[in-house]
Amino acid sequence: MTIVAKLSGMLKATRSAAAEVREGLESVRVQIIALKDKRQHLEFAPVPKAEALKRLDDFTAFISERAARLITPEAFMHREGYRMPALESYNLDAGDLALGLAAPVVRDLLAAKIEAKYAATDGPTADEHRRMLEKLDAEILDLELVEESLVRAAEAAGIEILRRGDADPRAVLASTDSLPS
Amino acid sequence: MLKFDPSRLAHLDQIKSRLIGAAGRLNDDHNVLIRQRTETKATIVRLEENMRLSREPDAIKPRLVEAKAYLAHVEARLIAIKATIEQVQESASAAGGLHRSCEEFIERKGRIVA
Repeated sequence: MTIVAKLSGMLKATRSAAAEVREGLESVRVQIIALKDKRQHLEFAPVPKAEALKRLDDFTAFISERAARLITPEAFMHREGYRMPALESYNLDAGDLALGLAAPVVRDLLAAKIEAKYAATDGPTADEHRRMLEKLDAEILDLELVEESLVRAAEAAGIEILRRGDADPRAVLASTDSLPS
Repeated sequence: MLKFDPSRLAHLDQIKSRLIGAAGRLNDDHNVLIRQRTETKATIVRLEENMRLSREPDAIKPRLVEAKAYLAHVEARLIAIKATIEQVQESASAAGGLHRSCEEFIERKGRIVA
């Protein structure tokens, strides 16, 4: 075999190794992106249905009580000097009043909509939510450590691969013995 | 337990500097090409004028063809170098961002330890 043929073979092998490293890295990066998307989705996951309904009940109670304070049955019970309540003189907001008086109807309407939103699945509790986020964060960090390990191996072999601009500093600054081998 | 090696920051700094340096050199090359394009365009104008005034325009024609071919070559190199500059600047910016976030991480970590 001539020296040119030998060098050409070596070059081919180097190129093939570089392509393999790049492919492996790309696969890890795709998984990182997918997990980050999942995390972002989870971050905004709704609270459990029971909590949403409790919030609705609190809201209904609030608007109902406010309306009850705005206008009372006594306003219609005076024997002498009765005057029809004028919204302006009572400093009443007609919208608040109407909303408060219709609170049970508003509650039922919104409760039905909330039930429909949760038809497919319930939201995680605060503890579950925190645990799920922590688990995803750990999985993402593990993958970032694998990615950094691949990048360093490539660098050591003279293959230039750039790190992602949004790589996790914990992975990028990890000591070599902290990286998966 | 994950251990950190702050000296890795120097490595990131080297990568960042290398990319910034490469972007600078590419910009210099780009400027050279711009100058070559301007000079070639001027040559073409001059040759065309000479051809118009010359009694033997055919004698000038090969030089004009050559100048136009060279201009096309310079234009093609300019397009290629612009794309490369964009790519390198993007990489330099990513490397700069990563270096900064790692610096901030070390600072924060230092504060926590202190």
